[in-house]
Amino acid sequence: MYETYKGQADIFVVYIAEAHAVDGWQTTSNEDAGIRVKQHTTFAERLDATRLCAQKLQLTIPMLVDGMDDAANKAFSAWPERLYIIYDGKIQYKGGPGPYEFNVEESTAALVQLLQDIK
Amino acid sequence: MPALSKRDRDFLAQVTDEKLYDDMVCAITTYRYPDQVAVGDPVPPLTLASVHEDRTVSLAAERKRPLFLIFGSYT
Repeated sequence: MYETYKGQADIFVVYIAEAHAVDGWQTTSNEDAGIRVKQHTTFAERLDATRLCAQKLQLTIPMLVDGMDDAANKAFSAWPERLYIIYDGKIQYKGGPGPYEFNVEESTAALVQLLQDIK
Repeated sequence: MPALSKRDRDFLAQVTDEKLYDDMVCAITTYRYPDQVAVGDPVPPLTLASVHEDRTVSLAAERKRPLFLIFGSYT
């Protein structure tokens, strides 16, 4: 999706508090995969976790990071994952809260429609 | 403190491990916040640091292209 639309939209990952920190709600699947990330207590730790994520998942999507006040998470009710589209100073698309309502297809369709509308 | 949604409560009702239950409740009530914005609302005036570049990005800044945000974490 990023590779397809990066020339038409500004796409960012916004890294927020861990969904399944090893010192919090760790999951069996993460444990089995060797994914053990503590919940961040400093901005430096959050930056390190973001870089680890980029490295392990080989992400090419530009990444932003939420401050330790969790301002972005709070403002967008984003935890554990969520999708949004912004344009013309307004929220144009608001995805459902993850994990169950995190819908890449729906959000991509919304982006495609918006791109057509603003042509 | 954010409240548990019905979906959260239904999910937690299936958990029998007491420690896991407590960890789940702690995570959900700590990090899941009630909806603050809706479609059509102004963008919250937040500025976020870029991870791989020495710059910040203003979410509410005027831009010529849509801004697509993927919120999440590695875990």
